Amino acid sequence: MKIAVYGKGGIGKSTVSANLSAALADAGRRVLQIGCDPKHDSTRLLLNGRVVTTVLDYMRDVPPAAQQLADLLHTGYGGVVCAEAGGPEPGVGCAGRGILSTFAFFERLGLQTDAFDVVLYDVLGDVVCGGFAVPLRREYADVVCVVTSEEFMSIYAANNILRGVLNFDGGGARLAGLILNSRGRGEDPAPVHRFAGAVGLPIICHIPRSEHFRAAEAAHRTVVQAYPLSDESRLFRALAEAIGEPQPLHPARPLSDAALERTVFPQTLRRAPAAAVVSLPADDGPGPDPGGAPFDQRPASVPAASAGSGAAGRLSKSMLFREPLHGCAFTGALSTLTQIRGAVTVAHGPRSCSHIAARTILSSGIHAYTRKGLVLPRQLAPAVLSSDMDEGVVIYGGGERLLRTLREAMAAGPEAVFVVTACPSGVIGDDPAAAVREIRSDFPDTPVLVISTDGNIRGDYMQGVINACLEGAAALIDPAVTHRGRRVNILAEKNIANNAAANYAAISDLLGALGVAVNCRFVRDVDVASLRGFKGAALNLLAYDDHFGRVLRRYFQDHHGAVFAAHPFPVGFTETERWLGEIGSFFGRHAAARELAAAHRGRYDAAIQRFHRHLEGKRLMIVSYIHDVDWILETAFDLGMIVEKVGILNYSQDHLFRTRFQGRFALETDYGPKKRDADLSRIRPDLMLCNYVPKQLPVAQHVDSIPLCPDVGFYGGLAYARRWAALLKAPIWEGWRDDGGR
Amino acid sequence: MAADSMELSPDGFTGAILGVEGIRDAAVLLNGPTGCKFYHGALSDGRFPRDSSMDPLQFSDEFYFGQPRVPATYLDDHDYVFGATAKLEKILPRVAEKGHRLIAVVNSPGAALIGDDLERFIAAAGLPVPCIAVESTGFSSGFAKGFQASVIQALQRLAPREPVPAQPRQVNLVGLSIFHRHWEGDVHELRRLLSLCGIGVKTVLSAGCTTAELASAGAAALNVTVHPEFAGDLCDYLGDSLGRPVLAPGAGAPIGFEETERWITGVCRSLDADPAPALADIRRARRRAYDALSRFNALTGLPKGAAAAVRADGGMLLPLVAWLYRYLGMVPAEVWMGEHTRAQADALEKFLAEIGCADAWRSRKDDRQIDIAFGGEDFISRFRARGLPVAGVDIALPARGDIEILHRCQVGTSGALWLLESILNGLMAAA
Repeated sequence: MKIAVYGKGGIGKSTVSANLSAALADAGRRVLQIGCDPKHDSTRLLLNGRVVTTVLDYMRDVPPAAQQLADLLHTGYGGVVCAEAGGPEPGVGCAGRGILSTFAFFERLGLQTDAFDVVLYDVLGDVVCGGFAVPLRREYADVVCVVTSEEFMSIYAANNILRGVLNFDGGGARLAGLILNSRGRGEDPAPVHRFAGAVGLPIICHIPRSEHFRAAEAAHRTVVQAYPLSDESRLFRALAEAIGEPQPLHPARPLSDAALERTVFPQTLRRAPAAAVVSLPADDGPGPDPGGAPFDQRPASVPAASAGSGAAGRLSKSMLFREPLHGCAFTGALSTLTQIRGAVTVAHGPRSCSHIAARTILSSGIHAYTRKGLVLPRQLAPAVLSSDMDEGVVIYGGGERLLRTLREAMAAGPEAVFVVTACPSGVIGDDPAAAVREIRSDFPDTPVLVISTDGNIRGDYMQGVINACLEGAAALIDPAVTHRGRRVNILAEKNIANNAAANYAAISDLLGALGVAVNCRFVRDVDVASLRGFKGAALNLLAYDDHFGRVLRRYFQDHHGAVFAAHPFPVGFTETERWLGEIGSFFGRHAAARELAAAHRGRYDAAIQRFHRHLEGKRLMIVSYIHDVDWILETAFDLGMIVEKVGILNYSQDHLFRTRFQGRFALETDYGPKKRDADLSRIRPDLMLCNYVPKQLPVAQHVDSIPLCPDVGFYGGLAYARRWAALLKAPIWEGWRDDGGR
Repeated sequence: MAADSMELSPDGFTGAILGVEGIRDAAVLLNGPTGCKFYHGALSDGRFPRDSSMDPLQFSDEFYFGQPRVPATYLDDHDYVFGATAKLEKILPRVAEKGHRLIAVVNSPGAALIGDDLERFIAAAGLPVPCIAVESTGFSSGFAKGFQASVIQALQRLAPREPVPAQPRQVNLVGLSIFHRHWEGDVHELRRLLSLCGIGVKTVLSAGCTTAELASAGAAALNVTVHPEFAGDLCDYLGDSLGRPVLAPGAGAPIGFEETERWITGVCRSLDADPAPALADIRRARRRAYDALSRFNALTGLPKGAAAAVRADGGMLLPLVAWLYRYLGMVPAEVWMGEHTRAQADALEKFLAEIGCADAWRSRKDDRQIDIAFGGEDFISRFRARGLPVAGVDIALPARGDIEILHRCQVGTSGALWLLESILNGLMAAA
């Protein structure tokens, strides 16, 4: 059972929550209490006054790879497992957003709430914005209790909470009732009774003012622990018993502001309708000495699926290393999902977000058409519908707008629909799952999948790509399909690379020569049927063995037992020969692979010979973002060049440098412009290769650019030999460079 | 302001950024994530380069992320929760030391929701550079609205509201942004035509002007609109606050020969200047156009009868469609309007009905034959993605991506000739 306890701040909501958890634990329930209040003291009494690290502080301070659920779940009185979301200082940031982040974080780390009998969310209810409303979402809370005192503002907050519940539930019933926590002996409970009657809710517990609360709090304990025999403890036990059993739940029927005022401040008092009330006698003095049984403070009963490594295994490089995020998950996901033929992606956010993403997608499509005459429909006319979130949606929530856009998407009869959300949707706490549930009920045969993005709140561009692959495309895979014929899947192509189409054509040719067909491209220019039939391939080929490629490989190995070739798309002769050999061996086509390589060997050697005399002995320096430059190194070494230094720059897409030429050149990672300039002055190479040709160097220098995504195949590196030979004959300083001053 | 079929078009956020980035010595500081930064940084640098390098390592300072324009606070999940105080305190002096004359701190849509008090950071930073805070650029509002709002904020900060003596025969050109396809050539062309008539341009709001020019905008004798849908709010401000008259000559932007004649004649009449030299320039251009058209037409029968699909902003669309129809005999087959006013939409719809092409208005039919498409490459590409071998004239962004060193323009005499050249070459290639 999952219970959300809502109430205005400062009325004893957390005290009630902690005592309820303690009473539930005494009754033998396994309880998890999550404090969803920026002042993060919800579980303090359960933890004997111990102040724990909040989830939000932990997320900020601990690198993702080291993050573990056990660090955040603390066992308190009666084995109650406690966690605190935390939040920002008053006046800055968005505490509601913090609640959203906390829940997303727990999901990512695999918190298994099912391992508990009761999960209790203690939630600040002053402002029921999207963030603080998260526990109201269906998957989080089955039962909602509202704590109120006798003051008008507390009742006003309670009424607001009912409005929030109504927005989530429509006419559904999820409210257990009100808990009246009296603030003083002289307070008149009648307004609460009148309010309860007007909104049709029982007062399931009336907790009178008691000195026991102050005394227990001073001892850093709940009343249930400190005064187990007191009337208050009996009351909480009764409440725990009532709440732990199947009980009638009620729909939210909030009052208008005017009706609320009339109810709380009537001209003439009317008799409050009868409500189920557990009442207590007045405070009768101190109870027995607070002692209670000692409790184990070790985080013992942390649920099993708390492993950080599994969740971290799906993080992009920037997320994993807590680097500034490069781009946003929204655009990364859109760039990936729009590659799926027959699918439509709904972009829930302002138009600017869809515009930015569309321009990213279009740029490679336009490049392919204008430079190569290639028409790539998915990159020229991506199937994206923007919900065009406006000011009203931002303030009042975007569920309706999203639903409308989903209906518009369904009108086109797509084979699948994906939903991605932009930052504003994430900040205000829109719940796309609710709209998706509704649309699924109308279109049960069309898969509708929500991808975790929230702009960049869920991560950077590459995280969006990863999420689109694993939560979107992979969700369509039919697990019942089995291998058939000589077929491979291709994974981790880069959709924004300008040579992606040409590289695929080259790879297809090589595979075709071995009699191997492509089963599914995951995810590029692929239809839904091919994704469903993903498991029809016996072997899987990575386009790039970079961080993204490794994430996909690990996922498919873990979840589908997929078999992968050892090496990614090959660039250069040796890699291509090796790759063909491996695939040939896998499919029993060794001879064809050998013949193909042999046919190209002569041509390759002849080309090397042709440029060897121009480049032999020339000294080379490479500065690169990409972490695999063997294709350049092989060409250079085959040409008799001397590689003096390789400097690897920090790159948002990879962090593992790899080479088969270890020891043949000086290597430095974490490279930068200062080191580059110092090295250039010292080494004075004949030629420097970079991904971007720099403008200001300490010495005049021949410099050429190398691509971030090289052309695959036997001649991928060799193509540069002719260029280098010519370039070294050119003047070291061209005249136009003198005109740079503005 | 409305737009149709524009779901992937820019909104007021991009408009606000480019409004300021169009000022030569001003800079936008984005309080937002890199997802918003990279695109706008590349767009600004591409549209209005102020640095000659594209090497990311040269701009590897924190907040710049390898680009010379639009530094950003790179907001992430934590900043949305806790606010971006530390980053804002750090970035302001770093950007200020680059020597800009105006800094606009612009909130991304997400940042606008968390309520960082930009004015407080600006005040606390005590910078020697004038700064403005654009707290919210709206959500899915029009590009032109955001563009004008940020330029007005810049004017409010830079231009004194005290009356200044008007300089006769000096005009401001209002409603031109660096997002307009050939903005630099357009400015050059309009300056040229006006100078033929003895009229000078004080400032262009806001494409390529300087902060000093903006500060002296009140001294122009007349504010002349170029693209009216990008000029309405600006003209209201210039008229109300700086007390200068506004002129919107013709039916929209000076596209095509006739509309250019109307535009220049209107300006000259308002300033008591003689339009004859500019009209003579247009006549000479028409003669050149005639020579090209008569030969092309003799061989192909075209461009008469060629089916045109057009998407453009309101101020450009009616003059362009009317010119294609009346001057070249082309038939509008599919017409979409970007940023526009209600009056512009009504006028175009009426025109299409009058020429028997009402079904072209905001109507997409997959089986419709299109010979040539005018718009951004996103619009043109939709036909290509459907397998239609259309010719394309990229009159809006995104463009084809060709390297363009010589100034092209779309307005004025030279603009009409460029359009004509593009049309004839396009039709010839597709024929």
